[in-house]
Amino acid sequence: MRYIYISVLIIAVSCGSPALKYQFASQDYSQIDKELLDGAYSTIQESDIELIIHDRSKATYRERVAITIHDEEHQKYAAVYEFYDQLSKIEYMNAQLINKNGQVVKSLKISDARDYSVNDGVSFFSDNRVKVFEFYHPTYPYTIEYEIEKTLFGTLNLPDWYPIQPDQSVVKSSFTIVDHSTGVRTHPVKLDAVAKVEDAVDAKIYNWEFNNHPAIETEPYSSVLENLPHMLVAPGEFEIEGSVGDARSWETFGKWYFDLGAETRELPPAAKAEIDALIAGVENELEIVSILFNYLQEKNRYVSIQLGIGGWKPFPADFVFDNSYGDCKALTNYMLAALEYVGINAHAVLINASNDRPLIEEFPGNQFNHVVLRVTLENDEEIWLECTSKYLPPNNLGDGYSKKALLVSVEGGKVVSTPDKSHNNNKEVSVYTIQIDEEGVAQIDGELNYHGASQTRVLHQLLSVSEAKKTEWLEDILPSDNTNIDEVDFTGVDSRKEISSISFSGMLNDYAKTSSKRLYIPVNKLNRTGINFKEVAERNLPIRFRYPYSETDSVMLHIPEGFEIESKPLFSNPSFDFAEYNQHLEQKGPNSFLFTRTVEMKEREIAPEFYNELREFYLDLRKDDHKQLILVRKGS
Amino acid sequence: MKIFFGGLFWGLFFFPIQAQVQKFGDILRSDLQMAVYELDSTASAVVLFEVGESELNYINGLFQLSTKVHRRSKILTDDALDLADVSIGYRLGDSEQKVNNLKASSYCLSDENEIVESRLGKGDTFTENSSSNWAELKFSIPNVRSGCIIEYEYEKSSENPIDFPDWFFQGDHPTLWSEYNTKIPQFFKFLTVTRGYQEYYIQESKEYNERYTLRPSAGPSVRAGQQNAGSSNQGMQDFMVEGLKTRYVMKDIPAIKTEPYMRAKIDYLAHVRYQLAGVEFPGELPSRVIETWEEVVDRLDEYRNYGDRLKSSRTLSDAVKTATQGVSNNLDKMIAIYNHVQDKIEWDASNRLYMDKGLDEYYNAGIAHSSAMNFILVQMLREAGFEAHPVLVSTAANGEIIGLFPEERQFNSTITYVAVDGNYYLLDPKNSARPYNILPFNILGTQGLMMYPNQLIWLPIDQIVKNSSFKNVNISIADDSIRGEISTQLKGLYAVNIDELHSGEDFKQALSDDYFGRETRFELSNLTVNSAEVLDGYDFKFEITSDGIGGYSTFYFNPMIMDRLSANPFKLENRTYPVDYNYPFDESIVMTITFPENWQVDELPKPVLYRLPGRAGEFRRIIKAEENTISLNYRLKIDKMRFMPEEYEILKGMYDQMVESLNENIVFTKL
Repeated sequence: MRYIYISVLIIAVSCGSPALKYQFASQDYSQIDKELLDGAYSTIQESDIELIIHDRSKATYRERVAITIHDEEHQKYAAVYEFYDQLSKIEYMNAQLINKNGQVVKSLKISDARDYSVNDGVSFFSDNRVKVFEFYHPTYPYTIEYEIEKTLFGTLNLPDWYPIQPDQSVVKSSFTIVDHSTGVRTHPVKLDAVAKVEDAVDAKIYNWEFNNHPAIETEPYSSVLENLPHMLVAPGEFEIEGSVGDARSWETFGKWYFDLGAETRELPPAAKAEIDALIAGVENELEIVSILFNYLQEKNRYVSIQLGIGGWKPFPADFVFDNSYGDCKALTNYMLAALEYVGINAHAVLINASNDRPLIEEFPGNQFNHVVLRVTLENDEEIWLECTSKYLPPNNLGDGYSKKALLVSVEGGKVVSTPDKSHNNNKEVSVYTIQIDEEGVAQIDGELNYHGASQTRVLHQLLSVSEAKKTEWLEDILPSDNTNIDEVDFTGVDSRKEISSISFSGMLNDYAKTSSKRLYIPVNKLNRTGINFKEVAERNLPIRFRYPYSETDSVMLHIPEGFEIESKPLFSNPSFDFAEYNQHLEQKGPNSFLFTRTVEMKEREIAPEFYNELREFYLDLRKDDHKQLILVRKGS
Repeated sequence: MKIFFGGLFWGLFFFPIQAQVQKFGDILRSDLQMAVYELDSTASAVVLFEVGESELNYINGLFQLSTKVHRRSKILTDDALDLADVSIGYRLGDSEQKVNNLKASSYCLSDENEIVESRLGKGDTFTENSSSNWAELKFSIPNVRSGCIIEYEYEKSSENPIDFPDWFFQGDHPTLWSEYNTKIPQFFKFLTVTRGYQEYYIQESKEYNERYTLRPSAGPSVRAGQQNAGSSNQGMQDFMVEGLKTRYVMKDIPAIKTEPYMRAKIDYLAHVRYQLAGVEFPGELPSRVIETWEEVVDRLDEYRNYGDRLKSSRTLSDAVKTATQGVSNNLDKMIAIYNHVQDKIEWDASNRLYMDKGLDEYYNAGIAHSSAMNFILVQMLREAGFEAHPVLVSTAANGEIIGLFPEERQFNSTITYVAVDGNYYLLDPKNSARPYNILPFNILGTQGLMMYPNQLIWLPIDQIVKNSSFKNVNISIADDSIRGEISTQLKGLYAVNIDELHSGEDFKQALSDDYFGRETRFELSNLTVNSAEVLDGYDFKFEITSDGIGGYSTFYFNPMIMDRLSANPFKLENRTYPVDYNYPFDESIVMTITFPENWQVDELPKPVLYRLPGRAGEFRRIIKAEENTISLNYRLKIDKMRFMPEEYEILKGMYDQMVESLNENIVFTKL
């Protein structure tokens, strides 16, 4: 019994009870105006945030917040998280939980916080860490008061101010910046607050308030984040790990990023030799780009690395060459190095990969989290390369379409637009021939074609898996529990082509339902919509799709001998400005029909006032997608 | 201890070397050429072999544990490229573990068909401190593409034999060869248990003996960091240490593919577990490391943060008086106390064993974890004069209890035993919707250990009340609408579930989604809930309109407006581990459909009865028509909780039958 207790007994954590340094205005959180409770899972009772910029290399950030949680939905806001890394330090962190009767149930100080390395599921190597207080209390409402102070070593990424979160109301919130003449800049987004400015001896003090705001409700198919009032904050001149830049113009900010990577693009001789061999004898610029891009994608894989300034500075080209992996910056930088080496004009383009963070063009600063490459050929043709993906073909940027982004070059940064893609670019076209027998078994031949964004999905799902898994994928998208694929050709799913296609033939064993007299043939079983909008009293935010899209299906349907038609479907086929569909069943011969279906969702974003029309549209489509051709046995 | 004389040394390599295992860097061209794994063509990667060697060797006056791991995998497709990102965890702080001798390489075929090796550079590892007592050594193997082989080996050492590692033969990818070799001196007594549903290909043991120089005066202490580092060479003596080498091999192990009806994944994975039971050194009294179950119970009984918390208390005895006022019958008294605990104390949604506060404190705070709530219940029952005891249990997510390992850490919660008038009851008041005779489903079918003095008592955790749902449905079809009335009677966990799911203001919405959500042809135009409260069931009326009722000469109607199974939950061709239902259940529907005078039934769905062997369950659906009335009888019953892999096919067949039958139409023609 000498050491068993090491691993067997769990030692209970005891709690100290420190008082918070900060004195919140109210200790009574029980009274909240009725209108602030409406639709709110939590309420910011008091929030006082201060950012003190000492100089371009150092800042202090303080948060003091009292938040009342009304509902389990917002229990996540009862957890106090503070992230830190090599470039920041948490000075203190205290919190307490107050129950609905105003009693302090739990108080925690920094030594009670759990300290984790941040596993964001993407970064494999990361020095990001987080300290966490997790509170749980089963009786609502309860209030968390917390205070945090953090020192930031470097001012590239100054914290933005988000006074309100979705489904949250605010009683009182203020934001103060104390700037010791570094030229910090701010930009309000959907925020009315006007700054009070005060000149102190050695600093300029800005203050904003955001008070008594009701909850902004989350809605499905919306982009609530970009509709939240918030304030962007960016430095003037900044410093990060000794590297100095100026964010006051896109030009200077882009220049800083360009210079940071300037010395990382020297290819080792072995890499040059490989490249020479690959393009030996090839003259056409476009062809060279394709060859090199294909080489990059086949040889390398993505491993996210977020260490110190590594969050910004690309790993050098020789590292990528030696190890065959890198993150988005390193892979883009490597491709850029290869193109520079062969004398093709290309530039890194910083973008924000999130679809709810459109670039605010009038406010230069770090609004980016991703980088892609733009190639310009001698004939001025532009080719966009998503170097982080192992599969996307040239000019397919995944979700990166129709965005403003920052092109960086030796001259500095310049705002450019990534290509636009309409619903006609994001298209699925399917052609089938189906022979149905008396048992309801369908012999099917099909060809599926994917363009644009729908191709992105197919490439990622199929190119990374075995042939057998690809067949399983096909069986899964086919509407039968009992499918036998006889022949299938996936060679058309190719990361070098603009369209991916799959052709197959097989049996769907329970395609049509049978009974002793009848055969129930679904005319469209192969592509039914899954979109269903709920009935709502009011819609506030625009409806947002990931991308506009279109679908075209045509099915040549052969029915067995010996039946007559008992019931034929009729379709509603509505048409709106933003969307339309058309379904049609035409008898082609005594036992054959041609079914056609086209769906066009023309807009990516639809104004909230059209919600009901959109709902109707998908209700009708869903109904029509399930209609049947019903046959009855002759003479029965 | 038996001391061997002379240099009787059994062969160091007494096991035949298998072709499957190669030395680091000896790569078979055929492995590089493999494009598809034949036994599972969907595999993204195959573990070609993995060998673990855990040994306790006497080094520097101390038995040290070293575990060597050598793993070689073939990457078949890109979705397994992240196998090249490796993390090796180890303990920091007291009795720190160390990771040494790391080697990692990738091997690919070049265009010239040559094997190209890329080694992990010396400095290309990264140490991440996940917490104050745990770190991970991380590295990414260079130059990996699909088709390549990756390989790594390392040695992890510890001065604490209690760290003797378990070995997992099975994982997310199929494995051709998984081998675990152990070398354990006889001084160390380990308990081992093999779990999962795979067979050993080789399982053999041989004795070995080795010569060591020991200091007999002190004996080789095994306590970490407490070595007797005396420099005296006096009394140095040569010892022969005998022990056992064991070799376990599994071959061609499939990957675990997850499907519905699983409990904790660890209950299915093939693995062998080790637990140090005791240490016996020559010249020292044997010391036991692990306890017996009796000792676990005794110690926990006295433990400050467990058994010792059961003390008579004014607060709780007052609570008993309040709760049982005016109740004379014993069973009613017990129920009153159960209800009182449910009402007074909110469960904090966690399952835990230890209590860092007294029961009064939990009671007054009105919030407690699972064991604290049950302790309050036990104490209150005792105050009321009942015989009551805590019962240690493990929830499904925590894994099955291994009876061989008497360790309290296998348990994660406590329930209550009470004897009333010669019967005994198991209670768990955590969930306020659950009456006294219903236990949470995640402990049903397990074994609980009763905290009973001087006697070892394992109790099967079963529930007296059956779990059943009965629906009585009346539907009347008219030319322009379908009206219906549904009344339900729910027992056991069905009653609890409906209460939990539908206890909001959106009960109507929930019903409408449950019953009509998947139907696209109908529009629900009206739904009225009759029951004021949902307790053992609920009643409601509905009205639907359908495009197809009035206008056509034929009307197609699927009577399974509810409980229509649209797809089989079982998709695997064969399942290599059991199907575990949460609980046995019995669902039935009796339906009457009336239709207009001038209609007639043209077709009825076929009757079906599917029985599982050994009365393990059944599915039936019978439909009859008489004049203008159709009667339908539906039943789905599962009577046992676990179906073994060999029963999978017939169980899956039953669900196939259900999918087919439950989607059949009644066809009416109109005269």
